[in-house]
Amino acid sequence: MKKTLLAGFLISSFMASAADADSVLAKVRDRYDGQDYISDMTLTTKTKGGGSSEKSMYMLQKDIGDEEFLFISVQAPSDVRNVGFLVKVFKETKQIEDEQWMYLPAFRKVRRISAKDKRGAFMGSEFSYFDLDKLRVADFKSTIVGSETIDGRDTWKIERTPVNQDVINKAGYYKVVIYVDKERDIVLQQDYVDAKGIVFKKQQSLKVELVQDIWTIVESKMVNFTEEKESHIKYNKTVYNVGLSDGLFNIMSIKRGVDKSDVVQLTMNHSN
Amino acid sequence: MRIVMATALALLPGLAAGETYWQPTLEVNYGQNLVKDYSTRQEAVVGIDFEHRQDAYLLKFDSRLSYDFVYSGEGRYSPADRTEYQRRLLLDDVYVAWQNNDVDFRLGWQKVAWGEADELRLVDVVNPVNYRDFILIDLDEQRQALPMAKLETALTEQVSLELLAIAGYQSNTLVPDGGELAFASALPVSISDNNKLEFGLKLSSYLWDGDAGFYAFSGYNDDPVMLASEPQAEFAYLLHRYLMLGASYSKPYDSLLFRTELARTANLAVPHLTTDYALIDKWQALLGVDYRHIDWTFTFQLAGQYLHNHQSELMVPQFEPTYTLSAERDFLSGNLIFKSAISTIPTNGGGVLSQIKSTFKYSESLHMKLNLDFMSGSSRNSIGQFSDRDRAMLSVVFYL
Repeated sequence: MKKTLLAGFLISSFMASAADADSVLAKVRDRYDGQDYISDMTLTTKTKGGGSSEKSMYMLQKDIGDEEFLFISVQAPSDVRNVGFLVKVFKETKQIEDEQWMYLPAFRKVRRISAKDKRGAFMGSEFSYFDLDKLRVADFKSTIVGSETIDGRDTWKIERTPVNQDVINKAGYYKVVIYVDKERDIVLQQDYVDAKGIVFKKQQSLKVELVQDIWTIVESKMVNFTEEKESHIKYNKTVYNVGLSDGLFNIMSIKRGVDKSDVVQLTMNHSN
Repeated sequence: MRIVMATALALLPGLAAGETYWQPTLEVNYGQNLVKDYSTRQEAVVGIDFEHRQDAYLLKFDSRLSYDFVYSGEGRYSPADRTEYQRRLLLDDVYVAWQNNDVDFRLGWQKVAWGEADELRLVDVVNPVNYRDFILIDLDEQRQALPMAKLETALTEQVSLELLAIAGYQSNTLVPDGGELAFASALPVSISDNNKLEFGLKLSSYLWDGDAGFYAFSGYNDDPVMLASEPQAEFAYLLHRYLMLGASYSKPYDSLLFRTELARTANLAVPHLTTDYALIDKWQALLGVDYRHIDWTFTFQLAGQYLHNHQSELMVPQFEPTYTLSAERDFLSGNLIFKSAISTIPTNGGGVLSQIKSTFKYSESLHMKLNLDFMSGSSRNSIGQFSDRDRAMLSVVFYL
C-alpha cells in the first residue's frame, strides 16, 4: 500500500512537474514579440584552425492570422548575396510541419525544401535549422529539474527528451537541457546531448536588451565541442511593429530580396 | 532597348542619392582534355555586378568580358572557333526595373528560369542556350540573356502572374566546326530576327499545400533542323512558330520533395527523311525527388520526351528518357561545396555523363573551383559522341 501511495505521489509529482515545465516553455513560445519585426543580423563562424567567416542578412518576421512568416535575405558576402529563405510556421496545436522555400540566385529559382529534417547547418554555421526554429513544446517531454543562476539571472533548468524518433530525426538531439529566465521568459542557455549522452553543443544568449519594451536577444553563441567550432549571431538592430506588408512574405519577394534601402524605407518612422 | 539606356542615364545623376552595390570579379579558367591531354581553355574573365536602387527603381548591370589565350597562335582550333570564343562579352542581366511588393517590371536583357527541373529544360524554354560547354556547366551559365519586357505581379495572396514579351528571336548558339564540343556541322552558329517576337506567360499558385506553375510560351525553334533529304545533309533554321503549354508542381512529403513537370509543344519542326522536316507535337514529363539528410541533398530525376504521331521517317526517337542522380553537401563550415552527378540518356546506344563539381572558398575574396567531366557511350548518342572529350576545368575567382 505504501509502495502504491509512493508511486502515485511520484507519478503525480512528475506530471505536475511536466505540466509546469510545459507551461514555462509555452510562456517562452507565446511571449509577445510584436506583430512584426526587422532585424539586421550578422552570423560569424570561427573554426578550429582560427579561420573565421562572416555573413550579414536581414531577418523579417510577421504574424499573419494564425501563421508566422519568417523571411531571411542574405546581404554578404557576394557569392551568397540575395539568397533568400521563407518559412511559414503554423501554430503548434495544428501539428503541421513548417513550410520552407529557398531562393538561390545562381539558379534563378525558388525551391520548396522539406522541413522534416532540420539537422543541417544554417549557412554553414554551428546553428542548425532546428536551433533557429520557434520553440515547440509538445515535441519534447519536459521536466523542471531545478533552478540555476545563469549570468546573474534566476532560471528554470528544464530537461527535455524527444517524444519519438521522428523528433530525434528532425532535431538531431537526444536530450536538451534548457535554462529559462524566470522573470523575462527568455531562453538563456541550451545544452544539447547526443546519442551517447554527451553534451556536444551549447547555446548561450550572451546579450539581452529591452527593445521597444520587448526583451530581445541581441547576441547568441553556439559552441560545438566535438567540432571545436563556434558561431555567433548578432542582431545589430531590431525594430518591432514596423507595419510590414503581408506582400513581403511571398515567393515574389524572396526572389526580389531585401536590401539596405528597403530596410531604411520600412523603418523610417521607427527608432529604438 | 533605347528605353533601357534612357532610363539608365536618367538614374545616373541620382547615383549618390540611392543605394549602390557593385562587385567586380576576376576569374581565371584552365581547361584540360583528359583523354588526349591538351589544353581546352586558358581564359581570363573580368566581370562586374552593379546595382543601383533608388526608391522603386533598380538599375542592374551584370556582365563579363573574356579573353581565351588557348586561341592565340596556331593552335588546334579552327578560325571560326577562334572568332566565336577568343573574345566574348557575356550579358547576364542588364535591365532597369520598377518594383514594389506586388509588382516587378523589368526592361532589358534578362534570363528567365521556369519550372521545377534541375538542369533540364522542359518548360524552361524562354532563353536560348550557348552550347560551348555542352551540358557540362550549370544551366544558367548556358542561358543567353534576351532583350525583353517582363512583368510579374501578385494577383492574390497566393497567385502571381508573369508576362513577358521578347524583342526578337535569337537561336541557340552552336559550336563552330572544329570546336572542342562541336556536335553539328552548321553555319551560321546562330541567327536572330528582330521581327519575330516571342511571348510568355506564367501563373504561379499555392495549391493543395504545394507550389503549382502553369506556363505558355509562343516562340520559334531555337535549334536548327537537319534537312535529311538533301544530297548532303545540311542544317537550317526553320522559323516556325510553336506553342508550349506546361505545368509544374512540387510538394514535400516527409523528408522527400517531389517535383513534376509536364509540357506539350505543338508545331515543333523535326528532321524527316523524305520531306526535310515535319511539324509534330512533343510531350515531355519530369519526375524529380529530393531527399535531405542532415547536410546532404540527394536528387533523382527522370525526364522523358514523347513524340505524338511519330513516323518511321522521323530522324528523332519517339521516346527519349533522361535519368539524373546527384548528391551534394557542404563541408568545412560551408567553405567546401561538393557535388557529384550522373546523367544518362539510354537511346541511340546509350551515353553516360559523370561529374564532380567542387568549390573551395579559401576566403571571402578567393574561391577555387574544380570540375571533372567524364563522358562515355555510343558515338551515336548525344553524350557518348564526346567520349574522347573528358575534361578537367579549374577556375580561380577573385572578388575584388
